[in-house]
Amino acid sequence: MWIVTGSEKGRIRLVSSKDVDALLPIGSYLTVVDDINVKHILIVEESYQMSLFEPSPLIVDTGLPLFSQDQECKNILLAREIKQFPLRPDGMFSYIKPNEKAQRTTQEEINEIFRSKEGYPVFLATNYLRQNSLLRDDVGKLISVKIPFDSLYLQTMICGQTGSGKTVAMKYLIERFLQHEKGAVLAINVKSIDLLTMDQHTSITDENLKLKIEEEWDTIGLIQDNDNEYSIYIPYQKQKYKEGVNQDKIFYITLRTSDLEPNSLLGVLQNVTDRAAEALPNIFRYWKEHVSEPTKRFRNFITWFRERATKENNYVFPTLSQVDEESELYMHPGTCRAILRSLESASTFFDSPSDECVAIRENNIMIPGKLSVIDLSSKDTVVFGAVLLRHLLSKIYESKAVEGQYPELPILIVIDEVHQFYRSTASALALEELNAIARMGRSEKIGVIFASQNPDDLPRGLTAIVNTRIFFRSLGNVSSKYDIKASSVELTSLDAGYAIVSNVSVPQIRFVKFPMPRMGVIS
Amino acid sequence: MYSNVDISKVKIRLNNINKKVTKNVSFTPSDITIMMQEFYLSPTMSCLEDINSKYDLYPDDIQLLSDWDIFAYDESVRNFRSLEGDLFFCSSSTIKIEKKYLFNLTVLPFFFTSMKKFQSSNDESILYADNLSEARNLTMIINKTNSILETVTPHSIILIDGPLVGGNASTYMVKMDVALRNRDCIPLYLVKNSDSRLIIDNDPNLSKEFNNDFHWAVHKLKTCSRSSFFKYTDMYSKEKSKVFSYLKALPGFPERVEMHTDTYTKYKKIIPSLMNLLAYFFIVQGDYSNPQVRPIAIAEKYAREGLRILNIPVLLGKLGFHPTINQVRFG
Repeated sequence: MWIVTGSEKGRIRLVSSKDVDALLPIGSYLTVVDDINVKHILIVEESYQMSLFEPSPLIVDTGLPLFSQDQECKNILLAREIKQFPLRPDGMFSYIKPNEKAQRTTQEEINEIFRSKEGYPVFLATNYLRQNSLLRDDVGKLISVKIPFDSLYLQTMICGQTGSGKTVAMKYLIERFLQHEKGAVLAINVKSIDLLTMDQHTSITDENLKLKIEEEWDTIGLIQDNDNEYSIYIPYQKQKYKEGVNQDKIFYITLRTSDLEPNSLLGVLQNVTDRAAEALPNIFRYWKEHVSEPTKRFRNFITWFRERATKENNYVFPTLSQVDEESELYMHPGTCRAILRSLESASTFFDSPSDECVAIRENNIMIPGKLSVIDLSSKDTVVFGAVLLRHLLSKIYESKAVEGQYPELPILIVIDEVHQFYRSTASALALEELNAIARMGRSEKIGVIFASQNPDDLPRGLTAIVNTRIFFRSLGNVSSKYDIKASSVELTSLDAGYAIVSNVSVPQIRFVKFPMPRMGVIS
Repeated sequence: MYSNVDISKVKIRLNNINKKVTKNVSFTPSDITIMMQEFYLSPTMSCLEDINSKYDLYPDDIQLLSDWDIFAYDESVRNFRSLEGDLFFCSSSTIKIEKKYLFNLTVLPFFFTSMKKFQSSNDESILYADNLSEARNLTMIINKTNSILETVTPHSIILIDGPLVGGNASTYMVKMDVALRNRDCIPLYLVKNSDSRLIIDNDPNLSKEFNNDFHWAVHKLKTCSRSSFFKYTDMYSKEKSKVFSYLKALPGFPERVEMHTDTYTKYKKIIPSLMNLLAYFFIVQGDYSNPQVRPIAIAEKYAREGLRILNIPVLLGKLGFHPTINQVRFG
């Protein structure tokens, strides 16, 4: 038990009673019930010890037995009130008065404060001496809280260094979304086999860790569920695929030029001027409408483009705008060469003649309870990814928002290392669709999770619209930029899985640990 | 004894004082020195050991800590002036050494006045006093003996701040001492400051050289030693009899420990261990400039806290007391 002794600069000061023989870590929750039965919930922001009797050091120097009674210490806490309930009928808020008693907040009280029944559970966490631990109640039970699923439709940003738990958290969110929302998930895998083992049960070899994880699963009742449909889509390539991935789930994909939405082509462009980037979709549209043969092969577009980019043709290209206006455009020979280089490098991903290849469309993705992972982890496939992503997003947007298809189907789009798609202006432009989708998320039940090592890698427009920000271990300067200073926990000191969360629906929740998913983590 | 703080009578008594005597007191406490005057009429002195021998102390001999319960008592006071008299707060603290310190803390206000209308009053909180200082001391002694007798349990060593015999309080103290001994308790009295000359007045050579017994002890004692035991008995009141010695466990000033002669006789076998335990408590406290046994220092800490938690000036204001005229004028 802790006793309120006063307040300091808006924070409540508490002192431990005699029965408390340890320090309560930062991030812990306390409940004070006042004389009119209003419950005040406090979160601990500072915790330190005070020795009551300040014994003489002589006792040690003289080699005499210690006077153990002098070792009694008190735990001093500075805590911030985050909620009080029920609210007073007079419209005012109650004081927390000196000498009122505080107990550690129970799971039942946490449930009362955060009334989200439909949400993905995360554990509340604490920090002391830069060591992280899970928040427990007085009987040692872990305390969890639910972050509403609805907030996923208001977009989520996950940041953290390699090994900080960012990818595991993404897997957890995917798993919870599939299980609860019964929606479709489109995830982009950009490194190793991170998201390619989501059909396999989580397996932990370290016995201690295993026990901890099992305790977490038991606490939140996380059950195994691998009934979901799962497909891995890989750009067609000759090399054999990676070990550890279930080959049955793999589908090679290609892009059909005939299907390609002209603006998606922007994704292939690198090192070209903005003007050229703007022009290419219109040139491509013209080619598709007026030049190409019925088969519409990408190779033929390159050949046609090369023919136009000559002295004889004065480097002039016919164009067709989105509103069917024809025109002509001169491009500098250097720009033409750059575009050609980009088109050549992307050509292998188009119109593959192989029977193994499928031309991926939005109907491959928009299936309830299905996880579709597009693997872009091989070299040079990010360029393809940018085109593909733009193409798919555009189709998803069109089908849901314009054509009104899949009205009840929620979709979650997960893009790991999203900064890779923003490396060039052109590919950044290619993701304009993502912005549009992110902005209409709630009404259409489309959620996007952007993950990156450093939030600064994301365009400011994108970071501004996200409703949930999850910061795993990151560089120190991140905290001041994204308003997470008040949590009193240093981002640089977070252990794997621990994160600082900023969510508009549950602003009182700050420091949490993400549970391990039941599927997809192989240690 | 469960870490108990009793301030329940404070408000009742202050309301009573406010109603019957005064509404105007100084919110700034006035300094008063509470010093039990020692005077010894018709002393009979003897030295129980060789006055010139050295008596070393062994602070590692602390077996008594496991065999006996240890209690300690101290008090803290604060005085507020008014035209009608003095408002006096006494915080009495008795601590017990268990796994942690347990304490029994009582804070009581008293009003001392020389207004004769209160001479025959039975009011516990408003006391008539011809001599304010004497009345205050007497009140403190009664408070002290009550507090100790209420708290201590049988088979305990009790460390008490202040003398056993020497002054008006002796009768009360001796009475308490008898009661404690009947419970198989060993009351030991520790005196930090005193002008007593019982030892030096007994030897013309010493009285030539020294101002008082403490002066003598400072020069006589080496660190971690004690003086021989002396016995004092009042020639006309035999029950006022004590055995005392000066102890110097740390470099700096010595302290006097005294006990009733009956205590000395009854527990003679363990007296050396008792002295060693006191030496241990001095070292645990470890303050050269303010040598005290640790349990009394802790009791003192709690006694002061008793006054602090009341926040007396604020409490007085809330209960309707007004600042005195002088305080209004000079702040």
